[in-house]
Amino acid sequence: MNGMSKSFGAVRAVQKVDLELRRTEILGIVGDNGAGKTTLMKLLSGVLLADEGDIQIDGEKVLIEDPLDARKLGIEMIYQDLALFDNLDVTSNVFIGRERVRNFLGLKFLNKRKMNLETEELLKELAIKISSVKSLVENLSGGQRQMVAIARAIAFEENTKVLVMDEPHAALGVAEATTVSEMIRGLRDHGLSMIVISHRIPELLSLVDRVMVLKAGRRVALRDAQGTSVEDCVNLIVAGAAQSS
Amino acid sequence: MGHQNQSTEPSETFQERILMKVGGGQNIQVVGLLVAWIILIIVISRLAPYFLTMNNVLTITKFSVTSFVAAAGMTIALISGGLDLSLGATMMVAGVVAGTLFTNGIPFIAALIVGWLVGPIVGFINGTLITRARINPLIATLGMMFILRGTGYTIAGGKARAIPDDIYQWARESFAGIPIPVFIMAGILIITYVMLSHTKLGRHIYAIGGNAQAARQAAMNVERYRLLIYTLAGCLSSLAGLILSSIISHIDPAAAQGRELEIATAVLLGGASLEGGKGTIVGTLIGVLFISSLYNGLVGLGVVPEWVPFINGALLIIAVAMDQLPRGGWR
Repeated sequence: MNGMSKSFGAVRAVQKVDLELRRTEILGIVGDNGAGKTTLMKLLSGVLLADEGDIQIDGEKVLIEDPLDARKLGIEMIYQDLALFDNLDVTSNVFIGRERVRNFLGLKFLNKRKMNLETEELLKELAIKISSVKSLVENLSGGQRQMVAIARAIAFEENTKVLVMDEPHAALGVAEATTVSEMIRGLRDHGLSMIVISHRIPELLSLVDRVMVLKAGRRVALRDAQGTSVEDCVNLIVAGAAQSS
Repeated sequence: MGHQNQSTEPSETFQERILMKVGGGQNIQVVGLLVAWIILIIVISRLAPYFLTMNNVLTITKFSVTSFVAAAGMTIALISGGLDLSLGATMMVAGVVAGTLFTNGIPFIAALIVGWLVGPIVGFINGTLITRARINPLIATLGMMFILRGTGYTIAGGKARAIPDDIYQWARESFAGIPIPVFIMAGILIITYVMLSHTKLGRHIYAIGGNAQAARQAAMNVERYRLLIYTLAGCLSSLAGLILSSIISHIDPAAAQGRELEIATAVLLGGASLEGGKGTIVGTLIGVLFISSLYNGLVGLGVVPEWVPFINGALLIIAVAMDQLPRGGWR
């Protein structure tokens, strides 16, 4: 993404931000509330239209005007609220809107057996530990829910290239956050590149390859996660500059 | 393939494992209700031996059928996160229209069809008010209920009138010893069950009730589904109304007065939730049977009529309270 800008009236939410995502890279985006992280990602996922700037994939300029365009280009976004159906089971959630059906007398009958098997396969492939795909999502832990949301996001589009996750560690305990991070790292083996927005600096730094810091709509830093300490990161977020040690 | 036998994080408690085996808190509620119903029948029949006579069972059955058919509509509405309080009024108007047309010389079948059409029309109006004008379902259907009561009253000329013709009493007939309405009830039960549990439409109805926002993100046209659901509820209400009208063989503007209360209680006891996303047609059936048996028993035992709504109201509150329990207790 080059020189992206987006304003809402007088509020300059994003100002000339550059973002580069390498293949199979995990890029972290941090910043205080209102720094523009979510807005920037919405520009990528087609929910918002940029005022300025362009997006290129593999060197070619692309136009993303709505979420469908983004999806066709292989960009999937998982919002913080996960958009899961608590009252339905794991299989139903994964297959929602794309149910495997058998047509009979003009009605679409669910092929539950097939969907359950496919979901079990998917969970196995992604190393997600859930004892039964028939469990209702409301009975799952926060970490499991996050993983179901991720599984759903990548289950169908063979050409999913970029996965954007907004606060995947939110409300998770340390153990669960670690499990989710492991899963995200594992997605690299599936050829995915990922962008992770997070407030949980320690978890983020141990997960991502590079981290980008936004402050008041501008990019103030782009660092390798390895060489960046939590303190540096916090200083960048708050003051826009790392403390020289 | 088979089951994954690895356990999840230690957060899966003994409680949760039992719940999963039984199929969830929902099923426990339905089974509990079934047990309660059986106990109720035993208790009442001890106190009043006539309770289990063929005659009385038939009475209960007829009441149950009309309630159940309308309750099926209420169930679907609640599952989708909506609510329909105009069911009883729709029942009444459908019956009044059919009866009035018939007694004015319109052929029997035609009169029934036109009377039935009241349902989908009312349902469509409800659905439009709720999805287009964005009126709260409670208010929209409540308002419609009053409008319909007034309309039915006017059409009927303000008082009940008997319909002497035999053919109109079709719902009082039996086939192979089983009252015709029971066949209708069985048919609605099967169709609704299959639709809700085994079709894409049914699953989407649950999804919309569970998380309408997520449903939209999953590319479901939530408004169109809601419109369909209210129209469907209307169709079922008018069917129930025709059955009722035939059983009482009267044009009666006071028919099904207050039925909404019983139906709502039955559906909520049966597992549906005011928040949407939950409920089963089997649960509704048992709820209806429970309420019908209770009513019949109370009246037969000589309980003063004023107590009946009192008890019903208490049950309604209990039903809604039970709905809240899992959130506090089973986590």
